[in-house]
Amino acid sequence: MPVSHRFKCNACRAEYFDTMPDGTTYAHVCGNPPVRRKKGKPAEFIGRDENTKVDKRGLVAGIKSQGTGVTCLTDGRLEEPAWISALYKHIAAREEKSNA
Amino acid sequence: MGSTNLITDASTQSYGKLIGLDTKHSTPPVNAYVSVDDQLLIFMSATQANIAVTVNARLLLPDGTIVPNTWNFNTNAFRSGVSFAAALPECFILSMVVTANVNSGGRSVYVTVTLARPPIGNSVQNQVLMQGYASLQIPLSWPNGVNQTNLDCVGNIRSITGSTPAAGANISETVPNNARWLLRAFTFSITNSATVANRVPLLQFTDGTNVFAVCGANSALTANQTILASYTWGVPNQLPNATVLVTALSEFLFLSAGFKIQTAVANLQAGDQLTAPQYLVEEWLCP
Repeated sequence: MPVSHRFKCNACRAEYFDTMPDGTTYAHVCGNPPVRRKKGKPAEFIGRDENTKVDKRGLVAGIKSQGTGVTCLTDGRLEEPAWISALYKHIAAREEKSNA
Repeated sequence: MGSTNLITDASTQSYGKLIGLDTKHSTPPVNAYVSVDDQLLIFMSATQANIAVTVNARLLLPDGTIVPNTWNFNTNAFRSGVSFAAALPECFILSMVVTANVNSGGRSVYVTVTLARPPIGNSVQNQVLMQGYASLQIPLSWPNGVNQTNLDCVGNIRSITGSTPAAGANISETVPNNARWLLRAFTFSITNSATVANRVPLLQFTDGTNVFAVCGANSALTANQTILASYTWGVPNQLPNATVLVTALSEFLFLSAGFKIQTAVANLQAGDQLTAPQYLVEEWLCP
């Protein structure tokens, strides 16, 4: 069973656990989406969305939006939820294998 | 399906040397004859990555022997589907079972097994052998099992701890990718600041942008009040005591990926704090 850690979203300042008691991962999405407004341009979403996105091949390519990152409140060594690190590691290994 | 013709003479013996098969004249025992060009295509979706899925089969080979075979696969991450192809010899598939390394309480691994012609990803699927939610205790089975789509069954009951928002902000929970939810209960606490105002905790549902349903309490909360707001099916709106507010929740609101469940507390003040969002959903996988 993976260990659950508490994170704080640097964009919307919400706090959440990355793993549920049933072992399922939790994907945080900023509720009141922080946006950056520039004159003459549409508002740009700068919040965090941890749902996964897929590339043109239909393969998982990472999370939708990093936002301004997260801060782990229970383990200062963690820069992001462990499942996201594992996801990017998996993607890197997959790409390396496909390029070989 | 001529099972009466299965046992004939002893011209060809099985590896067990007990029952002989007339492989030249016997009627196919099942309707899954496969050639070397056919593949077993396994499509899986799960709420977690790296759940072991095992496919066990008994194959009747051209020489009359019956051989067991096992294929092992791992699920992909976060409800996104993944396909694997397994080569087959020329044979009859006599039986097949799929198990997933999860307990039967959770319908969290959905598997479809088909016979297909390559290439994978652009294959021609010729026969669906099995489809449904699999677990260790409740495997999928062919030919005696029941095929089930991902939606025509009871979903996986999940209790989820949501994100606690910053002070003065509302709770917002998003249905994850490749999931469909039916919200059964939702609670959170609200601690009001000293600012005088009548707060009314509402729960609203959006398609990501547009609000399409709102559940509202018929009681207002005042300054310095802390209360547990509870939304669930089949209850009348009531304020049973000074610390709990019970509100009826709309039933049968199915929520697709990207839909949001949000609080919308009327007159929410900057110093008010919403905490401990906890909710119960029935979840189906929609890869």
